[in-house]
Formats: sequence, C-alpha cells, structure tokens
Amino acid sequence: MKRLAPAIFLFLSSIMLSQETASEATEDMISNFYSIPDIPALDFLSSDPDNISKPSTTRELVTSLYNALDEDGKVKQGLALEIKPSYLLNIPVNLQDYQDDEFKYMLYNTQVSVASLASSGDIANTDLSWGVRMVIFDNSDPMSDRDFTNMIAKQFVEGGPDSPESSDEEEELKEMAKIIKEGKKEFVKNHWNASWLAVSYAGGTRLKGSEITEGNSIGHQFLVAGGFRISTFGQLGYQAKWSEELREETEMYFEEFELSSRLTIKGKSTLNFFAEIGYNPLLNKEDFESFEEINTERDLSWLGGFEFLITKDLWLNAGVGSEADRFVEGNGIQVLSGIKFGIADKQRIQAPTR
Amino acid sequence: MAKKDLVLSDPSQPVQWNIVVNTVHILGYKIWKQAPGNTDWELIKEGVSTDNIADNGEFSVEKGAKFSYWMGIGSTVPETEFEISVVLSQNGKVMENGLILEKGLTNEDGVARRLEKLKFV
Repeated sequence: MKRLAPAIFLFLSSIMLSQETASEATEDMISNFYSIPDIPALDFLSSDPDNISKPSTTRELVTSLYNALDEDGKVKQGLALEIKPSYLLNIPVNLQDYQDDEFKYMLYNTQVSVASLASSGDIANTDLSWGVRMVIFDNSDPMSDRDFTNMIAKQFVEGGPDSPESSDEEEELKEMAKIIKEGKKEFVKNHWNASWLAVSYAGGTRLKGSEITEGNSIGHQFLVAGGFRISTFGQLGYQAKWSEELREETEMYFEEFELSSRLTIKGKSTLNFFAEIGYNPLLNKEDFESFEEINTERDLSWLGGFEFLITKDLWLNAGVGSEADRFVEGNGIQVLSGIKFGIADKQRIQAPTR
Repeated sequence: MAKKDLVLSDPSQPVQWNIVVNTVHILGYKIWKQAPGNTDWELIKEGVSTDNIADNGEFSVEKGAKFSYWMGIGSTVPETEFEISVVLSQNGKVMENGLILEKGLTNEDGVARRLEKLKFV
C-alpha cells in the first residue's frame, strides 16, 4: 500500500492540475435521465416560454382557450397552458386526502398541458402540442408523509407569537421558510431512495397556416418512470419510453422504444456506485435502411461508475462503458485501463426523482 | 377584506370554534381571547391541523370581548393557493359573520401567515 500511495497521489494530481476549474459538474445527467417532463406539452415542442398560464377554474380555462386564437380564428404561437383537473372538476383535496386517499393523491398530481410554437422552417405554420403527466405515487414527496407535515406544523406553532400584539409578520415568514427548507432538506436526504412511479404522454400536430382544422400529426410519446427502494442503501430506477416522432430530415416518422434501468448504491456519503443498462431500438428501421446518415442498428448501452469525495466540494468520479462520457465529462479526463476518471465540484450520483 | 364583528346571539352560552384546512397545506395555529377593558390576551388553544386531534373547542365570552387567531401556513411547493375555514358558532348555529374563509397564495418559499382580531358584539 505504501508503494501505491505516491502513484495514486500523482494520478489524482495530474487530473486536478489539468482541470483547474474542476468541471462545474454541469447538469446532473445521471439523475435527470430518469424523470418525466414537468410540462409534457412544452417538452414535446422543446419550448421554454416566459409565461405559463395556469387557469384554476373552468371560466379561466375557457378565457385562456379563447385567447389562444387570433381574430381570424388561427392558433397563436407561444401558447403555454398548465391545467390541474382537480381544480377544474372542483374536487376538493385537503392534506388528509393527499396522505390517505390514493385516488385523490393521483388526481391532485395530474396535470394537463397545451402549448404552441412556430414550426421550424415555416413560421406561418404552428406546432400545437398537448400532454398529460400523472404521479401515481411518490414516497419521496414530503407532503404525503404525516410525520413530516406534523413536525413542520409543530415547529410553526413553536415559532409563532406569544400574543397577537407581539406578532411580526416578516420575522415569522422568514422563520417558517427556514423550517420548511431545512425540514425538506433533511427529508430528501433520508428518502433519497424512496419508491415512486409516474407516467406522461404528449402528442402534437402541425397546423398548416396555423389553421386549427389543418393539422397533421408530428408524433406522440409515452413515458413511464419510477424507482424501487432497496433497503436503506440502494434504489433501482427504471424508465420506458415509446415515441413516434416526425423527423425533419426525412419527413418520416421514427418509431422508437427506449428501456433503461439503473441501480444506485450509496455509501456513508463519501463513496457511491451505480450501474445502468439501456436499450433503444428503432422499431421501424426497415423504413430507413436507404438513409445512410441514419443509424438504424442500435446496441445495448451500458454504463457503470463510482464517485469518491476527496475533500469538500471535490469528487473523484470514474466511469466505464459505452456511455461513460455521460458521467465523466469536462476537461482533464484521464483514462486508465479503459476507465475514465474525472473531477467534479459536486456529487453527480443522485437518485432519480420525479 | 376586513372581517366584520362577531354577533353573539346569547352571551350566556359558550362559543364553539372549529378550524378546517381545505387544501393541501400544513397549518399551525394559535387562538386567543381578550376580556373587555383588558389588555392581556388569554390563549385558548394552540394546535396543528396535521395530527389526529380535532381542531375545535369552546370558550366563554361576553359582549365587547375580542377574539384573535394566528395561522402559520406552509407547503413544500411554492406559490400554491390555500383555503382555511374558521367557524364560530353558538348552540350549534354559525354566528353572524362567524364563517371566516382565509384564502391566499403562499409565497416563493411556500409559506403564508394570517393574523386577525375580531370583536364580539
């Protein structure tokens, strides 16, 4: 071991020196891969509008839909609507329902969305999309946990005023915000590997001349994602996606299926492991065999790795497999015996969450 | 909207109170009363909506007395609409102006606070 120590030191130094600004860990690709879109209709069009309308009554919804059309009856571009059916159907859901009634939990966590965007290549046309997202259950949701909500409420009372005369709104709001933030942080830490299941669907149409009656499908996608808790140390994440999407370069529909699963094992907070396997076949590959630029043969992809906390805000990560670049990225990557090593300024192995 | 005075139909009868959270929110609350001509507030109850203990009770009061409640409201999701009912009744009947709805939006931290003082007439 004494002989190995200088070699390890030199190896780590070479990575760290070549990467003076330890790759800012960028987005946590490893975590974000397993999730459903926040707003499926927007995700489907890759749209990111400044304002999202959230009608909470039927009247507001009708007004929003009316405003989505211009004076000639054409669909406006840049539309973004997020709708909660539980509000529109006027089905009351309180905290007790949320914690005890599975149907009401699911209904409350169901969202319908509608979006529109100028079609790429012809701004006279409009792409209109619609989507649904539904969380079936999620044990990592603090509001569904009675112990959590009870603890927070009791802390609110403890921090409340002794009499109406001594109440200070600003101070109380600040104190309550701190209670919620710290309580949530602790809850997430303790429930990182909780089980969950969510589904989403999105579809779209291209409206010629933005006319509502002149639509041609641009595709559909259906996604199921979730995680199984494994004791206190692990989680098995999974995701299945079916999609049929119009690809501009061929004017034909790609029909794909994507299946992947990941095992995450977390240690005491300094050492974490994961292994992931994925398969993404093109279901109608015979339609594209004449297109040389399109890869119709898809292999099984895999990725495994670990991360180790060297010191505060400095993680050594190592990945192996066909998708290793997704985990180890940035400058100064070193390859040793086929294993890619890199340095990041924060933890990259997180549990998949909705 | 300013709340109106609470009308006691029979000052010799106790006032029943009941607090119900109608939305997916956490509530911690305190309620007090103040005798007429007195500056001290007497705590009637402090409680939470999240346990299995009913959020109701009763207290005696006379005309000219005051009633106050403080509410700490929260959710892990920011900017959500909350609705909480406070019902004051006598002899099983809701008092005039005794049905109070606290509605609003939590802030970007997911919290809101309400403080109200009302007079019995």
